[in-house]
Amino acid sequence: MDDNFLSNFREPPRPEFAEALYQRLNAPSQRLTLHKRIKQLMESQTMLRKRLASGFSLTLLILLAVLVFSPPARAYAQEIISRIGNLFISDAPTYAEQFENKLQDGLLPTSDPNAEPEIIEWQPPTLLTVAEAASQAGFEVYDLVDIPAEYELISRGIMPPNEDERVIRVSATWQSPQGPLVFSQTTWAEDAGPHTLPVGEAPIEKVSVQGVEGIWIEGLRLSTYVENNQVAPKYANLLIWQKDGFEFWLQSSAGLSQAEMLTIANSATP
Amino acid sequence: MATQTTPWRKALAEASAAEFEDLYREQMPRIYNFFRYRFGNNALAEDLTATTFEKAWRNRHQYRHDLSAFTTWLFTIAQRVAIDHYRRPQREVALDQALDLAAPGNPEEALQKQNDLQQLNALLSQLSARERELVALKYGAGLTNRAIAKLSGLSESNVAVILHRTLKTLRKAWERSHG
Repeated sequence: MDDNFLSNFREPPRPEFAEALYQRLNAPSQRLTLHKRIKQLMESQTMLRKRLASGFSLTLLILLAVLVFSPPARAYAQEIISRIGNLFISDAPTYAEQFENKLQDGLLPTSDPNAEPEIIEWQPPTLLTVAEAASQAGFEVYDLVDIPAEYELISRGIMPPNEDERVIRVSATWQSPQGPLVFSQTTWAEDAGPHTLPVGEAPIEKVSVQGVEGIWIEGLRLSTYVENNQVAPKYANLLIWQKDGFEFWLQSSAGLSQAEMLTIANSATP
Repeated sequence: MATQTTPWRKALAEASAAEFEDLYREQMPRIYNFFRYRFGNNALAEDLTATTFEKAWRNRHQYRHDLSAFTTWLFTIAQRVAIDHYRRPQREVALDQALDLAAPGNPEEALQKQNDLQQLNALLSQLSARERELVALKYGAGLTNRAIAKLSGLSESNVAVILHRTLKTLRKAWERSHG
């Protein structure tokens, strides 16, 4: 008997399985390197202009511009208290607190009550499927599998890169009666510098998430909108980790516990 | 006779679409049959094959052609996928229940494939995990003893000796069952 009789049990894989797997691996969005993809998206600003049609985004951009270019804002002393990859966590006042301070000091532009209100067409939030998001982003998109029953997915969109933030970010939001849950996946250009998240006095803790070291931030101070020049204080719990070349943020404004957030985060799969 | 793998010198991430297709068409059936021989279940073999290639594609930037042949790199991933599968809590299934149905089509052909897999399982179930792994690499995946040695950490002569003895055992079992 030929010793190679064992080879006779070999069998070709099913053609439909082979083809389906090939198509999945060879999808155009995965053939481009992230660097090339970022370059492509930076050349197309169409999406950014559409997002600017939203009044809320415009307000936030103005606030960020003031904070970034205002010397007092940059002068806040800060100490780096933790780090994940290129993200540095500092104890400087949170962006919300910095904004509130400037508001109180009269350093921010206020609206003229006599002026005609500018009519800005409201755009419904984008809700892409995971496959659509992956195709637009140029990389495999993670999705949360284990979401509490009371949460409903209301948006998933892509933030393309620009000169200031050389990133591609996929962001999805689930809404519940208690508040939103936001999950973002970000990739940075190869030559992007470090970025900082000031957490003020919010306690932070190192945790294990998705098999890697992550950061848990509890009660981070946020502000969501300005009405009659007033700030509505909000707080959020955050889980941040880096894996497979991406930076992941899971933010809950409903005050989900660390254990609940870890369960949700650990269910993130591509 | 074990097949020879096309030498792969370019970084995987830079492979053109045609090169990637060649690579896939060459290696996928070998990975698939490795898992078939290893676990005796076609559906599971498909599942683990998909996992292997997805991991390989996701980590393609880590492949260094100057450090290892592409086959070695890919089968190292496959071995880890097999180990991960072993570590998962498994429901104990009798061998004859572990057979999956072939794709819908010719029922005689499906039955023949089922019988073949059953025979293969009957033979390989008598082996130790290491022996079964080596048989899966040699006769399922069609790797050379040298490639198997790199994957297993054994010397090439050790691999040859283990396979030789394993075949003797299997040959006796085969002759007993076929009169």
